[in-house]
Amino acid sequence: MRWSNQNPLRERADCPSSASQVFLTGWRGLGARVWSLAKIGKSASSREAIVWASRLNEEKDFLLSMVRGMEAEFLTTGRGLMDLARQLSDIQKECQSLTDLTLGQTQDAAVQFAFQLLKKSEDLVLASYDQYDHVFTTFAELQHRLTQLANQHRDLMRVLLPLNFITTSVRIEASRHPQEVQEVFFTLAATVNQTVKDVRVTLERQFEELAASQQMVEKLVAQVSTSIEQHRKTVSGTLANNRSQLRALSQELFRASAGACGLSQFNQAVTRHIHGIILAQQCQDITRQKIEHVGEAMDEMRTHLDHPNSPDAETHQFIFQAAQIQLRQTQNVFDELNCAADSLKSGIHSLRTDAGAAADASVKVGGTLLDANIAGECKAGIGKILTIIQETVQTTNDIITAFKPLQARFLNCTHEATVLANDVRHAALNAQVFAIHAADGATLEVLAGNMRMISDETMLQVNQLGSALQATADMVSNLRQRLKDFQELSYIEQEVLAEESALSQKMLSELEGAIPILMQRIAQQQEAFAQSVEGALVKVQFPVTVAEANSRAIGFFKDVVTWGGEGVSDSQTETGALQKIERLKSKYTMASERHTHATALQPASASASQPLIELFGEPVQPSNVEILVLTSTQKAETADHAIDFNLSERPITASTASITATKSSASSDLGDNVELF
Amino acid sequence: MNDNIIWVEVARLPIAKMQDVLLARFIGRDEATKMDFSPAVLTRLVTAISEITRNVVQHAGASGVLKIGQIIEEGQYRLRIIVSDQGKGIDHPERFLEDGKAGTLGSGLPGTRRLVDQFHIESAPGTGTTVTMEFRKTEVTT
Repeated sequence: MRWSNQNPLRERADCPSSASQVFLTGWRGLGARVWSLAKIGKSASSREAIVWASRLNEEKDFLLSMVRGMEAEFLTTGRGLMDLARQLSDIQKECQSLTDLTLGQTQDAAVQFAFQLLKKSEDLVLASYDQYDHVFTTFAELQHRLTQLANQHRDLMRVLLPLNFITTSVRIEASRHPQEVQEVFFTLAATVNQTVKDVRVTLERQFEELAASQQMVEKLVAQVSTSIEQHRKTVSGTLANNRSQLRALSQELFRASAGACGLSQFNQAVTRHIHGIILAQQCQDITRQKIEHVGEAMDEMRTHLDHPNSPDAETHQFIFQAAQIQLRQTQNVFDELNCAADSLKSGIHSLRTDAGAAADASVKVGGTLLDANIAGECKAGIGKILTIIQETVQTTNDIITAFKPLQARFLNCTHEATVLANDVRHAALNAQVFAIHAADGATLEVLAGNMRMISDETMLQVNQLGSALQATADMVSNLRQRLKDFQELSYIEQEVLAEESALSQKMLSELEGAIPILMQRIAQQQEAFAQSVEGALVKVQFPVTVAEANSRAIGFFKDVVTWGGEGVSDSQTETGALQKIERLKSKYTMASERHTHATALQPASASASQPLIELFGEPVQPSNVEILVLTSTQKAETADHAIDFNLSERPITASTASITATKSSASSDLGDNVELF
Repeated sequence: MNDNIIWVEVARLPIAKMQDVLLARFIGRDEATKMDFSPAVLTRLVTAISEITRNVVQHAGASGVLKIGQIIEEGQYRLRIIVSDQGKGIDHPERFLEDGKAGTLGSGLPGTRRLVDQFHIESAPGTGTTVTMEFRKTEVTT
């Protein structure tokens, strides 16, 4: 411990402190006063007492002025910091918007929507391939059946072939009979021959037409097969290309989002630093009340020094003890202020560092370039697939149209073959009936019976052919119906996909447009924020003020203690001084403290014109300000109780360590009666 | 999901081929239109049905069934869609609900989950998969 033993008058003359010009100006007035006292014959001790009284007054004003200055700085800087917090909040919102847009976590995210649209379009194309596969399968089956039908046709012709010989035999046999019998059987033979001829010609014509239709279908199927291969390649290429582009877009967006997240993290750190700086500055509010109490004690000390009849020994003892108490209290106050100043300096340093890092990060975010072609090509890709879908729908329609005549041919064949077979059968039956009624017509009966057998066989063959034709016609019919159903579904899907495609294109365009603007805006806001940081911090004088005031105030009270101690001997105890000390202590009771708090709070709550402080985006209403101040004063009260009073056990330095939050045994000596000391 | 609710099945469709995916979309859209869902919800619903039924066709290795029904609970109507299959199934289906990292498009199950109001999946290797999705009528019909 090194206390100054020099005379304060001499010491002050060469005081190295750059405290203020006011201090030096005050000295000139004080010198004049001491000189006038000397002239009227006052003792040296009395003159010193008057000087100390004057200095006490000046130092009190200095301390109170410091507190007021810190309060004003807190309000000014606080507003600046709150503006910073608001700017940060705006940037954070923009970063969040960018993240939402780029990460595509929303239901209607553009990239997700485009990708899902692609997949839905692909579904339709793949489903149309399924239909084509079915067409190919059916066509292969059809060709197989047509071969079988051709065989059946040949079989039928083979069955009909003997009829020509039989009719010839009938005519020869009939020529041996009377004229009227001859005429009947000649007519029957001619009818049968004609019918057989008709059957042959008709069926051959039908099968030729069927073959022609089949060739048309075959040609179409071959075309479809070729176009499908082409489509498969185009669709698969387009889908792969679009997937790749969407993935690239997604990665670009992810990078932009990662940049926004990084920026957001920096800004969160910056927000914490701003919060820390504000909290550190709020320390002035906590210490103001303590300084005010010190000021009141200094007034009490000054009153004793100003008293003309005050005995030297008693005055010295009172001043000695009172100054010791003020020294401890001031030391504690400055411990807190120094701690706050350290925290403030550290916070400002971190704020500058992280704000700089955030600005750098924002430049990267702003510099993220989205490939404008990606979204455009995705849109084009979706358009290409929609075109393919249109083509497949059209192809399906062509297949349905192509199979229609084929189906008709089968049905016609069936119908005509059946009619002709019936005609043959009727002719055979008639021949049989006439043969029975003809005299001596046994041979005719035999021939007519053969004709009947052949007609039955023909009917059987025709029925079989008809069934096969009907089955083939049904197969074609089913295929056409299936294609029609698919076509109907395709039309609906195509319509829906076209609508969604338009929506997707709009969303992608908006995404393309919105993200660069958003990123640019974030970069600009961050740059403006970095400039605002310097603007707000340049006004912060708290650490410098505290350092200077600490040195000056502690030095002063040490001087007072030294001066007071000079007139006090260890054995000497002045009862009057002790009583005054007790009286001084008694003034700082809890009740007195609460009264001081209430008085201090009144202007804060009553002053509506004072600017409100907004803490991190939450506007603080007057009631909240009260709460804030009350909380601060309550903290002060709590801290006061926890101050270590044992001066002898504790080294006093200009800058001491932080306050220990434990109540010492020495404090209990003063009891509840002494709130502050 | 709560079992004390009224479930009225309105449609059932086998899912085996890609055309069934289109049919499922069509039926889902149709039923949702009957329930007066908004166009935006219809798009989400159709997309969700597509994703899940496509999974059955492409990955399950067996055919599945789509069931569409109305849920009536406390006077509120919801559309429930159940897609189940007896295919390969998946181990720890919750893994497939995590959003993709960079480079993936985050679609499939996570994308589908975002599209619906309620999503539930049950699956185990060899026992098939059942996905249940619900849509609430919360949006104003336009």
